[in-house]
Amino acid sequence: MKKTNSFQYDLVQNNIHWFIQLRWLTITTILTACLISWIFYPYIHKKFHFPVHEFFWLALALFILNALYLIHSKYIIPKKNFHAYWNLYIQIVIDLILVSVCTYLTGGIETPFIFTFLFHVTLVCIFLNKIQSFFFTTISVLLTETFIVLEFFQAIPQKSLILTDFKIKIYQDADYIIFYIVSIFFISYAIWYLVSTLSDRLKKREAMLAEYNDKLVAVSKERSKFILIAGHEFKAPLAAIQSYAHILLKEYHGKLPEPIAKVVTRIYERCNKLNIQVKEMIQLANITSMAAQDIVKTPCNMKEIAEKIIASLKTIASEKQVSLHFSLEPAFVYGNEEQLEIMLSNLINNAIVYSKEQGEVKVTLKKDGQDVELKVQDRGIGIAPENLEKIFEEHFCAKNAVLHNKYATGLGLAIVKNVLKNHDGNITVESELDKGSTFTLYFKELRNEKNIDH
Amino acid sequence: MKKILIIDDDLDMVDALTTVLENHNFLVSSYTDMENVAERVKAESPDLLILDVMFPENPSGGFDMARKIRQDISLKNLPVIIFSAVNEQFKLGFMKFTQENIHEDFMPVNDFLEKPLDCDVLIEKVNKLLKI
Repeated sequence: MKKTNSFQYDLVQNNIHWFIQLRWLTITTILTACLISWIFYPYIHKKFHFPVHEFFWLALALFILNALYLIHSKYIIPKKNFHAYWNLYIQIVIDLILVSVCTYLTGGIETPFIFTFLFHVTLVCIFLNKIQSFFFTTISVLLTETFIVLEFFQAIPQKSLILTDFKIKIYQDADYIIFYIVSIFFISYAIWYLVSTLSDRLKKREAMLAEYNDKLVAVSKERSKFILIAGHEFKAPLAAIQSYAHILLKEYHGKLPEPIAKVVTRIYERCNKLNIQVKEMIQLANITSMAAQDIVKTPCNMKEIAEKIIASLKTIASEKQVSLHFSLEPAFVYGNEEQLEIMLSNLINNAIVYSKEQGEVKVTLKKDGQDVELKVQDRGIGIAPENLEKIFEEHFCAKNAVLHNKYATGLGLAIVKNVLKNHDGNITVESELDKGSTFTLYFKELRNEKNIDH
Repeated sequence: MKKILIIDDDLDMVDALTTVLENHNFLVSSYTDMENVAERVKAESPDLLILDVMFPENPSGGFDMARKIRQDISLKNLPVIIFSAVNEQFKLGFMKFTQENIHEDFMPVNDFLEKPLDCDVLIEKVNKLLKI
């Protein structure tokens, strides 16, 4: 429930800010209208009487009010959330009163300006619930009609925008006034009914989608958790099987006849592959079982991480006779060090494993504007163009990859992708079959503590 | 003849270790649960201890046992090898066991051996710790 409340609060805050922004626009429009009618006064005063002074003061009042709404929403609402609704209600009521005054000043039913109050009716129906919007619709109908009635009975001076006797004529016709009042009444409530019903339906759908999405997230977390547990359950028996195969091969139970030795070697090899697979499944499940915002992040020294991973992969590289070159600039990103290590380890390990003999792997880390750019280049077997899109999918192995590396699991790049997702990073891949691949990663650079959001 | 005590809940692992160690002329005894570890170790008085990490009743039981042994004055110089699969789930997180992070307050053990078993590495480490 707490989640729903904060969600609602965010929504109301958003609406408040949007209203405030619209009002700045309205103020500018009124001031522009004042300016135009002031400049062109000699031309228009013969036909129109635009109340420049009144409108100028109105704009000023709106300006002050809007500033107050803004201050209230910025400094008070974050502390007292329930104030958000009051801010919105007060904005609407004051707006409705001012709109009625404006309509009155611009001649009431004489011009189509009178229907501007329908803007508010529509907005209220979208943002508030049916009962609240009914209440505000009623207020706006009453305010608008009160001015018409007061003018009709000449309780307030008649204001006109057009300098003809058109206004006097219509205000002398009681039938016409009644017709007008009834029309406003029906039009307003028809709009209220249509918009609020539609908006209710939309809100219900939105809530349904949110709920559905929550369920999907929960299912995916559950899945990761299951893989995590299953993975750990597989590890112990697998290690036992492999250990037995190993002592057989080491002839602790005597020399094995050649065909048996062959079979046991195969058992040992398959265990090796399964081990890697289980390890990567657990890593992937670990990385995907947490939402990005729940992951513990600290400032991470990418240079140090890269150096550490390169050092740990030196043996594998020299076994494969692959030379490792690196040029690393100091750069910090805000992230989870363990995940970044796993990601880099996977990428550089791939570059080594998929190199040809006597190959060369280049790792470059540098700053590029706002970004940290990390490049891992190899001159290995490359990726076919039709596979470029699939390599980040879980369990996808390209044909040439499997032929080259019997330990291919198809999980390494899925891990890379998920770590990137958790860190708002991007990756680009350039590759040519038999020529090699270049993976380029981009992260937002951490320049100072201010860059840390949480 | 040097005596080695193994505490591991996995009988097959114990069996494999025993085969290798006996073949290299060590005397081997073993337990598959972590009860009364200090008393048992004292009774057996081994020259070296091999501990598994994850036990069904305690996912980091091996470290807890090692700590208990280190706190016991008569046992604090007993060499301890941790024998475990690299564990990604518990507090050690993704940290790999390396020579650098084996020190007193982090892990009160002398060495680490990764599952599955590699006989040559096992014998090398055991010999080194027993100064054979």
